[in-house]
Amino acid sequence: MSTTQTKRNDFSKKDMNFLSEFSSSNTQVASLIPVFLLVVVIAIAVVVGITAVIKIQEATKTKATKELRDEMNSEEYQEKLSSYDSTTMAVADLRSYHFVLSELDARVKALTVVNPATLNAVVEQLPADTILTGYEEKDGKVIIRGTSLESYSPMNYLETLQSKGIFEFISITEIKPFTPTENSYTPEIMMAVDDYYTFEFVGTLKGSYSVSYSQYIEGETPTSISSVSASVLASGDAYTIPTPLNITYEGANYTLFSITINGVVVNADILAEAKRDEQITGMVDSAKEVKIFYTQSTTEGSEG
Amino acid sequence: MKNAGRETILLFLLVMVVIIGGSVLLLINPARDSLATAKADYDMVKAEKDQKDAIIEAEKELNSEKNSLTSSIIEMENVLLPTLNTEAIAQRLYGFFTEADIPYYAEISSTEKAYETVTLSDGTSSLDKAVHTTFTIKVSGTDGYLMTRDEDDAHTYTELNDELHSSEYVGYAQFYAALQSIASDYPDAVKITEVAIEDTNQGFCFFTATVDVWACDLQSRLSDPSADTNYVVWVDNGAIATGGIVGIPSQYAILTGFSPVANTSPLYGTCIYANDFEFDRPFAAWNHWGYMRLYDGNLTLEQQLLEARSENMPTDTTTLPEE
Repeated sequence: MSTTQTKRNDFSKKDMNFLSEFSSSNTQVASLIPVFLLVVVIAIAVVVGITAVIKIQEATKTKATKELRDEMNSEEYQEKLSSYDSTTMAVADLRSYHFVLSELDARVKALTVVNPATLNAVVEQLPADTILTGYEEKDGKVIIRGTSLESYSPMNYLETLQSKGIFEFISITEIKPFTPTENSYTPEIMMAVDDYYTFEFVGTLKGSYSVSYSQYIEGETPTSISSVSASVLASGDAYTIPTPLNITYEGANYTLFSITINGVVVNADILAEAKRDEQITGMVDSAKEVKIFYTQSTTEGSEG
Repeated sequence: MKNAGRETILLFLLVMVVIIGGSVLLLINPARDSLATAKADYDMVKAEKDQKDAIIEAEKELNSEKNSLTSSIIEMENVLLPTLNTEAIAQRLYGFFTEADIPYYAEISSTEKAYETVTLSDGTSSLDKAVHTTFTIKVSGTDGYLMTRDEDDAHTYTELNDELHSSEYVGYAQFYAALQSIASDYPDAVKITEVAIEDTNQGFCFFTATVDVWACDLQSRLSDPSADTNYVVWVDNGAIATGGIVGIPSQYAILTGFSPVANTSPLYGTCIYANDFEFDRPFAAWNHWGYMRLYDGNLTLEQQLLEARSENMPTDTTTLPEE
């Protein structure tokens, strides 16, 4: 056997030994190869699966996003959105117009008008010997003039007028006997003239007064945020005006800030009461114009 | 050989790490990034849509408020009269006095219209306004004896003697009835603001009612004006004959203090103006002629006037009105 062949045989043996070592000595390792391969396949499958799930989720989201975009870009949706803008402007105009109308309405309602029943009551109470010679009524003030044959009649008349409860107060301008000389009466005329007394009263009617209120946002030029609510109440009647502590206007929250009555800011006690009770009450003794001011709410509130 | 087994296992683990790591790096991570991007995109679009949906939802509330405001506005627009129409108002107000049998007016007047505006928050005045005018109607009562002029008689000053001693007394009762009618007719827009009774010491009284009449002047009006035409439309009570002239003709002017015109004369009942001979009349000498002739001869007043007219007046105007 040649040397070369000998070496080749050794080498082959060596290979055989290696394989035999590999296969025989590590039979268990070799048997794991399919398991390894299986694990690899599973791992690849898992990776592919995860990737697929992610891709599916992505596709779903992308599709949903596209659907949202399509919906938002749709003509119908755009119309609704643009309609909101026009509606907002229209409502702002209407609010302003409504405020103007309600303010005008309140002013007209607040006018002092003559009630014919007052005149009739004055006439009905005339004593039998008394003649009404003059009557004027304007802005709740009444002037009554007359003549009476009896000296007590004017005072009796005053009493009956007071008892009707239509006057807040009546003053006597004068009650005096007729003086012919003041009228340049001649003795002949004087003989034909009966003695009588003249009188003049001035009365203040228990009037009706307008009570109105409206809401504003506080500022250098307060912005009206409500129409003017007005009602006409008789003198002495109680009135109640709602003063909600918190309001929402155009999506923003506002808190009661201050209140004015006829342009005068109410004191702290009344304001605190209004905040607590969310209303203010009072007795009507004159026209009342109540303005309720709000300021934008802070996180901690703006009371105080 | 045990080392070879370990190497194989390590190799395998290495391969696994490479596979898993590679997968994570090359597949899963990019996919997750893409998913995150898609989610972020979705969230952003969704938030945008939610915001817009909220706006659309808010529009429903706005529409509700708009309807409510519109309804309230239309109601208020029709509280006052749609316009101030002076003659229709005067006709309506005076109608209450005639209906109450106290038609004898001593004065009817009205003021210029005045506006009521609202100062807006920007300091300007509102274009939408209320407008009002004040009517004063002064009527006379009677003393129960002397009838006042008869509207049906064209010769209003001629029947005085025949009217004496009638027993129609008109006074407070009629005035009060008229006041009640006015006060209850349209209280939102027609308001009695002043009343006065004035005894004349002559057996009758004057009665005065002052009435404020309110209308609106609205640039932003939403509704049609009310169909109620009271105080707005003149109530036609027949065709109004036209053909009046400018200036009182001289034949209607007469001297005062002279003998009355005979009731058979065409001048009877037509003279409405007292002549004033002191008045400077450089181009109107007719009455001067009459005056001159009056002192120049023995003609009666009527004769002098008729003669003067026939001589000096154009033919068209020399014809006196016939009864």
